[in-house]
Amino acid sequence: MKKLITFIYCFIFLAAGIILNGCDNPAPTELVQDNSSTQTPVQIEVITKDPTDEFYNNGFDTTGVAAPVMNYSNVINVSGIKITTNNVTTKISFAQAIFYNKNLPIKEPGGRLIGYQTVTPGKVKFNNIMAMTIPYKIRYNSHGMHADTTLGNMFALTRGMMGPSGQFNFDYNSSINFQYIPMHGNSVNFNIPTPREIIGKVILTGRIENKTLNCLLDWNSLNQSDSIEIILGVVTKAQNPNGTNSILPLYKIKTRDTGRLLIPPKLVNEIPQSKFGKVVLTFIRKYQIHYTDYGNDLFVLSQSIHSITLDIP
Amino acid sequence: MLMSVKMSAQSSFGLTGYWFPGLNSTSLMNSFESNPSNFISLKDWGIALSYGGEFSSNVNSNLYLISISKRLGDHFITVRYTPGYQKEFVFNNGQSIVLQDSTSQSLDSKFTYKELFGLGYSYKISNQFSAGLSFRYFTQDFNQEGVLPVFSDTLYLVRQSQDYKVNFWRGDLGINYSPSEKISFSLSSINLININENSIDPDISQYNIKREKNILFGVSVNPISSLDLNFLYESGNNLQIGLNNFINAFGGNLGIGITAFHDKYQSPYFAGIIPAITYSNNLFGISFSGIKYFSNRNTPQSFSVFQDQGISNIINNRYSFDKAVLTLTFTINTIPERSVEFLDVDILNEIYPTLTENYLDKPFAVGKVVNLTDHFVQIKPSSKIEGINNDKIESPVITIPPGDTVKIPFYTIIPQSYDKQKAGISYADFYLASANLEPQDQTQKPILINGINSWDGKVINLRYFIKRDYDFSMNYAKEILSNYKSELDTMSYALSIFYKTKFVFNNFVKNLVYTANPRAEADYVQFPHETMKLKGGNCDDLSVCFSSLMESVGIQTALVDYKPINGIGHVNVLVNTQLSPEQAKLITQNESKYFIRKNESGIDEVWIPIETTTLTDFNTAWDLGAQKFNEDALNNLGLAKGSVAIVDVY
Repeated sequence: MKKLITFIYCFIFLAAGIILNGCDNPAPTELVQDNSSTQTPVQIEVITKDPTDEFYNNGFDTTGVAAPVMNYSNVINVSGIKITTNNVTTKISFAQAIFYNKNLPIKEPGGRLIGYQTVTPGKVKFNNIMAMTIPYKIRYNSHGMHADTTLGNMFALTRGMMGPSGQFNFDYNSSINFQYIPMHGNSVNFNIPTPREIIGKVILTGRIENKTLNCLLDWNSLNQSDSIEIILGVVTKAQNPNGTNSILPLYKIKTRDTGRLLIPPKLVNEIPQSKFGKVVLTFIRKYQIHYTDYGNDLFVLSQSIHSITLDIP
Repeated sequence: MLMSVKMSAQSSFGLTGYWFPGLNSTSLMNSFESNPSNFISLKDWGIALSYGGEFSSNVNSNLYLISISKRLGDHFITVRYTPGYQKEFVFNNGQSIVLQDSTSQSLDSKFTYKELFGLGYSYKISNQFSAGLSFRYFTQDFNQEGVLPVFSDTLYLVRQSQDYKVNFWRGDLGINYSPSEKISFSLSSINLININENSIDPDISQYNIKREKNILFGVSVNPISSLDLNFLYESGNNLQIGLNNFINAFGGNLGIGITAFHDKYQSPYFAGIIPAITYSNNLFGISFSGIKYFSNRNTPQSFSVFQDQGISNIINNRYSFDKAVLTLTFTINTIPERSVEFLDVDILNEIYPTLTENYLDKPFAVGKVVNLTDHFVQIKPSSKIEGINNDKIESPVITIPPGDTVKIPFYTIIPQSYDKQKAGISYADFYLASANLEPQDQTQKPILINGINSWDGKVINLRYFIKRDYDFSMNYAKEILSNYKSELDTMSYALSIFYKTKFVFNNFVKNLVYTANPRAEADYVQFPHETMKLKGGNCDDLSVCFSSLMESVGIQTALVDYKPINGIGHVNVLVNTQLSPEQAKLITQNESKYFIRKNESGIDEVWIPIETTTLTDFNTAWDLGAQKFNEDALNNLGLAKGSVAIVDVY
């Protein structure tokens, strides 16, 4: 019996020693996402840092019309835009060329940079159609007040919306010829490829009151290795003095062109219902090119945009 | 020490490989994975501990398993805790947040699979068959990071962790069949019973441990001495092939083995091997084993493959790392080693409590006992009858040759104080103990205990009824004789016994009547005081009573047993007058009325037969007794033929 008890004690001490001193957690296995993964990568970026600020100069609006404004010296933007509201779709063709003079910053009285003064030297043609020179208006928030100003002029052609009219038409999966004719010297001429048309569909299920709202997006997928951008925006319930409602883009969601995406539910269910009554989902398939020739940098953006506005259920 | 049985809730993969069930399994204890019926040939308690390291990019040590097993007769119970049976995966769940400084922060997921503990039960149906079941508890913790927008003065995103727990029980059944020591078969289910504790979120259901229902079949053969070949196949198309060899060394078994395994989810075809070396003796076992995979496990693993195929086994899957495992086992035997055991016990006779001394030299039961060892064993048998004995009654010590089977008689002692009149069924416990009194085996048998008036029909055993009431008889006889004091004092001493017999008998019969109850094989016999109180009885009762009265005052008697003819027997009494044959004329001139018998010293004395059922007077009883004795015992040669016997009370 003594031998037995000795063995029991030995075992207990051995086990206790091992348990207390010698145990790690087994090493985890790290799994990597590969091309054959069915899990769609999603990159989420907050666009509107201040949801009470209806002015934004970050380069986005939910119509997709606005282009990056200040990051480059010269910006050329051609867009085929569809806006669907109440099941009615309006098509807009849009082209603009903005040339900034980075030596002439425009600041508000408080010293905050609003932008750079624009210039319109020479002439610009899109598909051999002369672009009009129009004021480049922006709105900004100054000490809680909305203020309008112009940064100068820009070249623009539009069709299908208010503003400069013309024969310009954005053809999908094609190209648009850009020609810059300076006042002195040789003209610059190149083609801007246009993406295939993007056709979006938004399915809202559940209710935001009980945090069950799901926002499922479908679109015509082309190449799953390419990426598309989706802008999730909201429409304010409060109206502007001119009787319109402001649109605030909240998030930019970058994902693969797989044709389907469930917006992370938290993003839609946490939208304050008291302030916003509609969501705006904007599908963007785009080409963007950054040239650094000609002494200045040039950013060329060609995009197909489909923006859909729906009431939040 | 331990026979292995495999109970496989997560298939059949064990950390020590696959070994021949029943060989040297002290060192391979408590492996549900490699033991289908979960049967273990444990004698009492068993404790096992498996500890080892896993060779990922770092070396991590783990306590894989600690278990306790207990044998209760032919039932075996195992409880085990398996903290090291776990697998964890981390991966980017595909979502990322772009921060204010344009850097991005990916959101991760961590899936943790654990088998926490298991319960096993098995039953030894026979030496060839065992069957068992096991239940094992698994936890699955799916931790996923997501984004949570915060609307305040500014809109920003924070990472939020969300946990889904999907725990489940899993049960399986298995059997082992070993028709000989050379071959063993096993059959068990895989994932027979699955009980989920929680509902499964559809989004994560695909990541559950795969639980296909399958059948496991195993066969182990021992073609030549000490070499075993093992093959195990799962209907899910997994298999194991094992080879092991044992030698006797260092007072125990030293074994070396190797198992190769194929898992349909892993590559190459034989995904790896489990080499093992083990040593065990009666007290402990130690084994050192390793798991070596043939594919490189330290390279990045594809999430899409994991998403598509998942895992079906926590400790052996395509993501498992090489391992080295040290397994220690201890067998704690609080039950001494059994060197002999009962094969059977026969109850020879029911118990007649009045026949006390009868059991001192005649066994009431005989046990058949086998020596299980290869040496002589000295055994002290004992027994205890419930309701009769307060302590064990030891029977003579017996020495049994090695491997031999002997019959052991069991004796008992019935206390004089036993006085239950009603018969009843009781139990007799039989014990075998070694010379140093360590218990070896015990068994129990039902036994009939008769009432104190019960008699087994053997006239010789009427003596116990005669003796039991001596106090009563002495008082009764002396009271009678005191009335004849003057006659007895004045007569010749040689005739005093004859006259004492006459005086007692004539008084004895005054108030008695004969109650006809021809004696059968077994009977009910009254004690003298009961006969006097009831004022009658049959030949047994009256002979017992009269003999008791005589014996209590020093007059020697014998019972004449007229053995049953056609089922009917008779008994009466012979009284020793202590007269010599020459003195017989003092009491009778008729030579047929007495019988000459030698006393203990070989001297002839005159005995007279008394028919106790003749309840008239002494002379009539003497006449009739003599008449029957002469006719049956002498004339018909009853004494010679054995149909009549004279039984001395002493």
